Amino acid sequence: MNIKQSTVLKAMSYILIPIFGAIIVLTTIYSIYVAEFEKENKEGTFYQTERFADMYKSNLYNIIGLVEERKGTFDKVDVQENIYYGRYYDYNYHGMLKYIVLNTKTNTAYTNITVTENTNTIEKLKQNVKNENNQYLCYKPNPEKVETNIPNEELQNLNYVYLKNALPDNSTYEIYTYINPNRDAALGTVLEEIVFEISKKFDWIPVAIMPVLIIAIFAMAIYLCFAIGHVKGHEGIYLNRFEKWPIELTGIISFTVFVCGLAPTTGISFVNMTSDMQIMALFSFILIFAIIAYIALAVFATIVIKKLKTGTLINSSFTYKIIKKIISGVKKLWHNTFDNVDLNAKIIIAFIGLILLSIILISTGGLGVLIVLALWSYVLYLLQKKANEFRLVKNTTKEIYEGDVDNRIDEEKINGELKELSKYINDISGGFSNAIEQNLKSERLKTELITNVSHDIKTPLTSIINYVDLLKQENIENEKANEYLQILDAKSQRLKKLIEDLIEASKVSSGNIKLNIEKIDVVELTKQAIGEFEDKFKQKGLEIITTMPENEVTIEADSRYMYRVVDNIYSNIAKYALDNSRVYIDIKVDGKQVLISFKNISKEKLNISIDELMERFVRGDKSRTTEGSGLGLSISKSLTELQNGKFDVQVDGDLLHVEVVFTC
Amino acid sequence: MYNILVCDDDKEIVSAIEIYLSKEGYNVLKAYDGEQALKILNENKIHLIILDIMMPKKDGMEVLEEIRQEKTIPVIMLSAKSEDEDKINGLNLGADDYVTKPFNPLELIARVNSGIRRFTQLGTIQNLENAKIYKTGSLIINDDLKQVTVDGKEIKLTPTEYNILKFLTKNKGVVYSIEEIYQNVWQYEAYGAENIIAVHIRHIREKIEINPKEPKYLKVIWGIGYKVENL
Repeated sequence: MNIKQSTVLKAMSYILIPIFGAIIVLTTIYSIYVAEFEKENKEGTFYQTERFADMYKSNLYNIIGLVEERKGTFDKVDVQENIYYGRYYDYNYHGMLKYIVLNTKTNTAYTNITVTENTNTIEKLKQNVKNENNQYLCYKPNPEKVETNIPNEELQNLNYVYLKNALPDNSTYEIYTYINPNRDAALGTVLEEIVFEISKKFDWIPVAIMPVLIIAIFAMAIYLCFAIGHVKGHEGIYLNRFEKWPIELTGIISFTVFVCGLAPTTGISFVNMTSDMQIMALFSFILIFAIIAYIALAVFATIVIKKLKTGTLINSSFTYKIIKKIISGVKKLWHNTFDNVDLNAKIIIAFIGLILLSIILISTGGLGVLIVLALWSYVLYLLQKKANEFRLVKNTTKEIYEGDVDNRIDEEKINGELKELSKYINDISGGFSNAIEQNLKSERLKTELITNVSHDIKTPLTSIINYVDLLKQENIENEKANEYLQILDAKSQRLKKLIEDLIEASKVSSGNIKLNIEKIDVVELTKQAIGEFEDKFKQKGLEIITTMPENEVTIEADSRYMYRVVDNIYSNIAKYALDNSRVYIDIKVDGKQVLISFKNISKEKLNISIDELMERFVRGDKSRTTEGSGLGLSISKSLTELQNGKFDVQVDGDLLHVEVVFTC
Repeated sequence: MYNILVCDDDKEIVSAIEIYLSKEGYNVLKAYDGEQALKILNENKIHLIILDIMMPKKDGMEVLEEIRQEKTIPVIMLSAKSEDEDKINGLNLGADDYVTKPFNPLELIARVNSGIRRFTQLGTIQNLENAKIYKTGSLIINDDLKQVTVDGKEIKLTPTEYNILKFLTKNKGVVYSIEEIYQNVWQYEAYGAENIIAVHIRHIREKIEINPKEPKYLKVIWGIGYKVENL
């Protein structure tokens, strides 16, 4: 069974904690009391203390009352004078105090002094009291007079009114009292003396037990802190309906019960008690109320702990709810009032308000000036905060502008007008990245469409090419038919090339290819390409003039696609360069840049703009009859850019200048 | 007489191929879908298959997979799909060759001839134990006879071309730049005239490869150099 859910353990802890606590407190108080007594006894200062005076005064008061109320119960002692002996009123509790209450009118004495031969007359009794060895105190009402040899200021200046209140009006009582010095008067009572004696013998017990009790209390308190709220059959912390009330309500109820429990016990003094029965009754009374107070306290503490554990202490409290309501109300009011106010107006209002407030505060001087300083520091802080927010908005917007379209301004970090602005920017950038995504998607779709359509075109084209070829192998005598066959052959071959270029162009322009970037040597590549085209150039009488560095010039590119770039440029030259002209191929290293330039004289007049030249499907002569698809330069440009290079075409008269730039 | 199975869902293409192959002296069997191809394959002794990829019932890739479970006969894939990944897929699945549509009839015939030679003759030519022989795939250089054969067919090379090819085949798999080839073949420092190497290599490719633009043996690594593939 889960120890946290044990009801027995919890109940035990709840009961034992106060009991142990009480034992500790009482033992401590008693130890202090005893220690003080011992000290006063040793130094003989007890008779000078206020406590002694209080005790003595209270005894005097009680004696008078006792005698007045219970005259009849005193025994007449068989002596010649009227002396009554209070056998049963030996004043157990204050037993050491001997007294004579003398009614001067009737000359009757009431006493607890044992009647012997030395005390069988009133005069002898008086003498007995005023013995030098006694600590005595006598009171005479007419005229009022206190005689005492006790070295206590308060007793020497005894307030008569205090005693008079205990006596019937116009009474003529004289009181003679003494404390037997032979007995240990400091302790006041036999009982106390016995307890004191015992406690002296066993004074090691509290020293030994106290740590054990303290540890036990702590252990039980910690156990309770952990175990409170864990109830069998419930997950986590269980709060009943009463426990769910706001803490203030619980607090008020608990406090009321607690106060009601403690209140009757304040102001009660044991000193006023005259009998054991009374003291017992009072003690029980106090105990009951103390228990009630303890229960109130324990219940409250338990609920607080439970609420802390569930984290609802503050949330469920009235104060929190009220403060929350107030804050949201103020916020709402603020928004209702200022949301539609123009920013300029807001600034003006804030400015005027601050100035006015400052003037008023400064005019009050001293503290006002300090408040103004604090206020303006706060304004400075707010302005800095706004500046930071503005910077955040600016930087994020810049990042979006620079291409990071998925970036968003963190609206959580921004308040007020800027928050609205951030929202708009985020919306725009959201639309922007959507558009880009859409665009990419449609580009992909386009590529896919082109590829698929091309596949479909290829199959019939295969038959056309094959049957044209077969037809050519038939020995056809008709010259015209042969001429037509030649045309069919050329055009079907061109169609094939067109389709291949079309697929490549659409793939390249949509970036739908995988690059395998490695270090390649541009010089080597150029030489290799010249080797490939040597025949074609020779056929057209083209002279290739190269200027390139001796050493290798490496760039980072995809070897195959880089060849496609060069291949297209060379094909272009082979197709469109003027026969028997010179072609210049230069490689230059300029700092971190590698420039590869190709210059040739065009066979046809270059009567179109460079932009058009670079557009797909456009060729220099605007006609579409010669070989090639017109996609060559466009593919080269796209491929170069995919590999982070630059591809540039310039036309100067009939001079065509293609420049490819890479960083090495 | 070799039996060649041609399988394509386009009947005209199958007929055209039949005409070309018949002229070369092959016996052609025709199928128009995958299932039919497999059936014919089971019932006849076939020496080579030309297989289209996009076909009804069973496509070329599936047919290829089934053939490769029990047969080693040469398979030439014939497809309109010209993407690199299509070619790689086909070759990885066990095809011996991959021809894209529209194809050059002469190239197709050359590939068929090569496939048949490799399938029927290769393995019997290793009779010269002591001869100095350099070899990769079915490209064999016999240095004693100064003879080069591809798929058992002799190739005529000029002395320079022969030296370049011998050097690269001897060191097959290694990439050499133009300069390195020049220094190794001519045995002295290059001084600019080495441009001619690129031309020689193109010529060698044109002689030993069926399609010089997509070489099988002598590969061009653009911007780096040349190598003979280690097959």
